[in-house]
Amino acid sequence: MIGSVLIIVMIATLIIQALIPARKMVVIFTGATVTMTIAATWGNQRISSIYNGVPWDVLVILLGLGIFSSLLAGSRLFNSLAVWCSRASRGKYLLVLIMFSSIMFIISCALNNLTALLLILPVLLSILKALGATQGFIALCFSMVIVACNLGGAATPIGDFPAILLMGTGSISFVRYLILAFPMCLLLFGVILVLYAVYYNRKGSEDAAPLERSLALVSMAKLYRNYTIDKTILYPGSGVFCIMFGLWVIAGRIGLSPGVICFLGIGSFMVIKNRAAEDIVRHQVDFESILFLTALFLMVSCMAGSGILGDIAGFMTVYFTDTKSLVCALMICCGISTAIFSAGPSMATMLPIAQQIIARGGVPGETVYVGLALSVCAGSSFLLTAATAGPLAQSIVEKSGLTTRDGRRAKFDFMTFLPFGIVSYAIIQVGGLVFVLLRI
Amino acid sequence: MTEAAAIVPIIDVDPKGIMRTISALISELGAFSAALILQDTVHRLAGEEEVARLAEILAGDFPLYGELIESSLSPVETEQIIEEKTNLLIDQLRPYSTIVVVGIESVILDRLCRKLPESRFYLIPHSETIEAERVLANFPPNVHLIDVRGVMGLGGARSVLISYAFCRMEEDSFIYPVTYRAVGPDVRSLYNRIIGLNILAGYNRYLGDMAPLYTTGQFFTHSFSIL
Repeated sequence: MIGSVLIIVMIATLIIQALIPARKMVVIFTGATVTMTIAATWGNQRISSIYNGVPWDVLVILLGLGIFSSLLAGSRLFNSLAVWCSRASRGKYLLVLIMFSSIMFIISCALNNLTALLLILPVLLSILKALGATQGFIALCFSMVIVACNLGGAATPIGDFPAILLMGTGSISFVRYLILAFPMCLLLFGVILVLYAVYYNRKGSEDAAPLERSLALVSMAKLYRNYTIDKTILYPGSGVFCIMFGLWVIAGRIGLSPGVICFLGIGSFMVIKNRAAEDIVRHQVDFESILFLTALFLMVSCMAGSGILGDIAGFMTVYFTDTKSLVCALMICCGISTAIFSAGPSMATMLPIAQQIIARGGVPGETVYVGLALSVCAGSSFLLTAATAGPLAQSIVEKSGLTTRDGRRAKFDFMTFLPFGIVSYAIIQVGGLVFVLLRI
Repeated sequence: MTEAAAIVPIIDVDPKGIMRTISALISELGAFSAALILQDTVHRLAGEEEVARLAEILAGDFPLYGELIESSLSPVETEQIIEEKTNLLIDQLRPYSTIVVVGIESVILDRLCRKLPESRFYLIPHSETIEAERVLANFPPNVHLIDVRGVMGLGGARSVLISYAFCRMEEDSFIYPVTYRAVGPDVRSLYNRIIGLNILAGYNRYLGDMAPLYTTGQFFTHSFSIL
């Protein structure tokens, strides 16, 4: 009974925060407060046990990697890569699409999606503005960049929240996730990119006139004429990253949790670049998402304490007697819920259910976890509002004043993204299901 | 096939397309700098004749480019003039610790900021559509971007204000609109000197010499001079 009430409160909270994004923090904290009150009074759960259910390691990793991303972004390495991409594209639309989505995939593997977008989009906008792209190409290009961002984030254990949650909760080791997820994400990225490129060619879009292309490339060179990589940030940043990477690989053997490794690494980097770090911690860290996830984890902890998640897992096990159909159902639920509620709420709710199913035996844990991460990635790529990268890209495009070749204001919104989102979702979701079915 | 031969005839070029392509340059590097880049690019790709033809095509959209082409200076010659004039300017600016520059012209400021590392430069952009972080990243750390409202607080005995007025003898002048605000009567008395830069003219002269229709000199103090 209590569990049912808690789940109703949580679903209501998630729906309201999705409907009123401007008040999502108030909604989520109200939901967490109501959930905790019900769990503590009716459910006789102790507050300390609710707190213990929060994966603090995950929050530490998220916070740490957020600071790391911001610090490393100051090196201008990634902007320089984007500038190099625009030069290497020779002003040809197809090459712009391929180069920028590839660089976005690579950067998202290491940095969080928001930082990656903030670094790459200004350069992409400048080259598109100079080339005078058509509305069709702008929609195609930004959609591909968003999908590349999601796939890059899912490719490594540190790229995005679902993977960090899996690593932080000890569900899967750093190396195993990397070995299983990276090739799959790279393959899916390649498939989608080829499909988009074929679609672009079929539409028969023409490149800009040679003079405009030359001018565009000269413009980019001049706009970034003295743009140099800050080695005082890049070298220590790369060093710290390599050490963290090495420690994450051997974390199980040396008995250190991924969160502690992250804490040590980021702490060292902050000491080395103390002035910039102070500024970043005070002004740039995304505390909003950390608080949002904390409230979410508190709600999930209450539900886990009530035993409702075990009941749901039990129900699913009874309903889907075949392991393959059980895992497929879980993954599709995860993908759809991500599209509606975004990655954080979806993964935070689905993971405990998946853990319960895995604990009952007969289901390979690592495969299911990576499958879930791919489903979250699919859901994030479905609707523009599903992942934080989408609304951010929309806002950046709107503020940039980008115009199309015929002088109209460029559009990149929910409906513009939708056709590309549906295709991307279908490919990633099917790819994830095939991956899981082949391994079970 | 040579690079020049691969170019479509300039006459077929859409002026709106060219303006859109160089709009970021005009905003972040300056109209004069953009005109120089345009001249240099077309010169390299299509030759001298096409440079002049493009000036005709862009006459209604980018007259400053036409003025530059009419000066009959090649890109190399223009670079030399800028170098010489900037060196002259540097000597005049040495006594000042605070240099407020109204409008961005990268061909001048790139040299100026590096040769006066002890001075603090405050740039007031002439356009609102700039990527501030990118603009600053191209300059050394002694350069800051400020809003035009900040011009009052930076005045003083060791402060100088610089702006641009690109004009040729008895012709139109090109002045960034923000300049009118930045050198208003309330600001003039606050600065030790107000300097106008005119690279377009082949010789020095005062703005007050211009035709009455373009009496931009009224916006500046007696200490205003064109270098």
